[in-house]
Amino acid sequence: MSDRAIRSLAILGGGIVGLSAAAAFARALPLLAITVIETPPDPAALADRLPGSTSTIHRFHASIGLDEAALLRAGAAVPRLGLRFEHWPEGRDAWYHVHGEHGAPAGNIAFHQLWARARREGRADAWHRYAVAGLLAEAGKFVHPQPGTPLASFDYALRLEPERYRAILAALTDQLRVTRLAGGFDGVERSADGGVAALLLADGQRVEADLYLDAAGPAAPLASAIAEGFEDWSATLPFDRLDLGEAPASAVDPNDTLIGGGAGWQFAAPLPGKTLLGRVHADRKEGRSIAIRPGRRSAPWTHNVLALGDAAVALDPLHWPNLHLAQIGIVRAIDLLPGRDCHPIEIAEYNRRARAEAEHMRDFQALHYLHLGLPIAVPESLTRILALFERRGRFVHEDEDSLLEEIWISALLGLGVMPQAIDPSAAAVPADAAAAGMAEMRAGLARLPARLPAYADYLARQGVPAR
Amino acid sequence: MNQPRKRVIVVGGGTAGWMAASALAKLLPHAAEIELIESAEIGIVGVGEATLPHLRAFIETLGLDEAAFMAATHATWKLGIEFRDFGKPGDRYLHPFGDFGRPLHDIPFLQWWLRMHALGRGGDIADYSVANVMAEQRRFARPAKDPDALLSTYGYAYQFDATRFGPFLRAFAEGHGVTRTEGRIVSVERDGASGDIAAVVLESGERIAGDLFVDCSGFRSLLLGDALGEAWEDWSHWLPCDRAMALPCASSPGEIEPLTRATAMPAGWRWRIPLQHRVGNGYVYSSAYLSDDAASAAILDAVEGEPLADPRVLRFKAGRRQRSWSHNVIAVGLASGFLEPLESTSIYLVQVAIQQLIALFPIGEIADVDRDAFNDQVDYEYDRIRDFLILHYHASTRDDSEFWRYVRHMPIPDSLAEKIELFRRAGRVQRYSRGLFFAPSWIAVMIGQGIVPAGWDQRVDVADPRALGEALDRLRSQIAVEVATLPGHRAALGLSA
Repeated sequence: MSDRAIRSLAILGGGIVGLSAAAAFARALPLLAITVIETPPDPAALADRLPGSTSTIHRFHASIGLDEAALLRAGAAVPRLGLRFEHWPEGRDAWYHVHGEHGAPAGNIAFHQLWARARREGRADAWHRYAVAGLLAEAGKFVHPQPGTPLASFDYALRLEPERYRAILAALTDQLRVTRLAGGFDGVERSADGGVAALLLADGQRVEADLYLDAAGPAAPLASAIAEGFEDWSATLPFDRLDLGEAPASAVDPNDTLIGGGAGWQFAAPLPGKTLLGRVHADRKEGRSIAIRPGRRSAPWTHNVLALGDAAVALDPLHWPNLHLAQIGIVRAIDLLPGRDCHPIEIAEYNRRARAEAEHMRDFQALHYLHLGLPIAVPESLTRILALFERRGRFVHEDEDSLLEEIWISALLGLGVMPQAIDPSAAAVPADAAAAGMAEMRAGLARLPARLPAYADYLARQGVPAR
Repeated sequence: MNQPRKRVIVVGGGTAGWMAASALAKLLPHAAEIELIESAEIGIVGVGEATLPHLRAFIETLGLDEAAFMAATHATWKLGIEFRDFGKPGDRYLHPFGDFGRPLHDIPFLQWWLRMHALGRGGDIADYSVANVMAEQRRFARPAKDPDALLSTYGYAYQFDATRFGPFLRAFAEGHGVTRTEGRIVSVERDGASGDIAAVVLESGERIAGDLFVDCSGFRSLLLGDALGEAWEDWSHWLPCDRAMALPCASSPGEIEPLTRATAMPAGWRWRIPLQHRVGNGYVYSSAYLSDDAASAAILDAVEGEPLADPRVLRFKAGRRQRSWSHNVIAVGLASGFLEPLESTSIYLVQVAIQQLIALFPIGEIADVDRDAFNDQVDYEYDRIRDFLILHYHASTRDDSEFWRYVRHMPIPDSLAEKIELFRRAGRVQRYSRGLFFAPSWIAVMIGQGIVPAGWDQRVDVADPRALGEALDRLRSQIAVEVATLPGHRAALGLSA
């Protein structure tokens, strides 16, 4: 590889996505010369701007050497247990989408099979109440998972305070000898093979590299200069406007709250010292809204240009996919990093995986909109998922789906997609015995929160500043 | 919720039939009432003497005793498949059940090896496979339970006498309420309105009605193919072998190899599967390139021990039915399709179909969504195994026979061409979330047949070659030392040396 290894990387965009990429590449490839061009932030770059992440963020942080405890002490992040869905669908009790085990399988029989039968018989509590994270979420409690105890089998995500988090990433990239320079994008110089030979900046600077990343937000100024194809998902994902606001810190809550509605939905994400509020809708009259164009670049990697974050996939913030997909894209690029020639076969593999993964995420969001009663175009892949789950509670995890099976199942059941019948293999477990076992499990779990600290107290103990 | 049990008629009593009947009886006792029809007049194919590690899960799920199963079927242990003369004459490699080395800093072991290999160091990648080193030394022990132990990095399967597996399962199945009817099916009755199979009629005149029919009739595909006329998708342009000449012979004295051997032959390849009491052999060939008589002579010439029977020819065709589940007929095993036994996948495909049938067993009326889900899963498996098999023929430089010149140069599926090119660049392998085959399998066959990646993951460049070389040497010698403590295969089987 040495003779054709990538030696230099230029990243357009100095937000969270650009700096995350810089840190990850610098850690993985210490000899790489990395330049981040800190263009003026694009307000529509949601992965740079929003606080949300998923539980996959821990692994990413480990790979770049970012210590969560330090993030907490700096007020740059706080843990998030779950998403509390209200009026979603309309008329349904609030439910929690949390990470981690729900119940326990009976041999080969998935727990949700037994739960669905008991639920129909009126003998089961809400789905999230069989998960440690769900109980803590509802009780407003938090501790980090504790291996080897009943508190081992759950996970959590982080809520980021974007400015502080970005500052910490910037300091990390400085330590990793990444060059950061402020500048505006003024075009590209193409090479003979169709790729990019240099980036041209507004102040006349010229930045050359073997590989270029476009982390400059949904306008993708660099990637769109090379290739145009865009797959529009607006028929499936109905909302394309986002308003953001802030409120004073309210009751400190380990969950984000999402409130559904046919004309749009709202979220509240408590951060240190404030609560970030958002409204996601499709009302074009509100001139100050952030515009989202749901969809993805058909070929996020073209020649020696790779689009990441909102430049690659634009989605509204439901389930916080923006930074999640950006981080996974970075890791995938490093795993599949081609030589300087950016050989089409390796690029094609990156694009193949990226497409599948983005489509799974689109389907996951669409599932939620379908259950708000919105008239969306349902992708065939989602129709299949729903048909099989509705029929018998079966879910098949597909290749390149970054969402774990438990994430899908919690959403399906939370949204009220009830399997119509129990799977014959699960029916072998006697209903009374299963219900008794579930009641016992529920009782055991219900005792957990009482002896655990309130979320705010726990954060204080971890040194999270109040503001 | 409790519905009347479905009457499930299993047609055919070979390996597939008894596996299906046993699993359904064990796992769906409240949902299925099972009758199996078999005819003593119709022989069973009994290929699939070599299995994959997945069979262990089947044995465990049924709650069968491994020792009893092995004794009944004269089984030996299997650590992989050795391929000889495939890439070119004189080549030899094992496709092991297990990993090569261990990932370091989240980067696959292969990448570190590729770097050293380019420097002319690091030795053979096979030396980093515990299964391979064990197989070379004809040793066997079950994998360690501690996931950190080197001796946990492999799996194992069985090599057994398939003609004894069915009868072994029969006792289990009958003990679990399966009824067995002896008789030859002479006609099939279909429901006029739905087109479903209503009943099968035996030579005796007995009419056996059912809700679901599991077609385990082998190549005849009595229900799915004959009665329902499900279209056949032919793959013989990719996999031209259409015959096998089988010949059991006496065991050679000495240690039993814990591996199945596939040796390339002028018009195909031949298997050698050592059991406790004999050795199974067979020449898989293409009738377009070799006559049956010549195949018979070739296998007689090739076997190492005294022949225990006359060579017997089996006829088949590579491909599959477009749908394995159509109407109320679910085909399991050869009745649904055939892929030559080069990678011991026959019994695995039987298992896949059974597992999916249990997972998607009808609730009330058969629903299209269940049927479609079943067929999707079966296709997913067949297509991927097909690509993997074709690789063995395509990745070769043999030009010593017309057959090999054909298979070397034939057009291959795009899906395979992409995998090969991706690997050739820098050793990357597409990830599958389920099914066969995962990265170590692709690595074994590609490198074993001469496709060595030209580049590698750039991240490994930072490693100091001397330190890396020493680390690899340590790993190799650690594997060698640990394997040397394991018993020989015969001793592990409890047989005298």
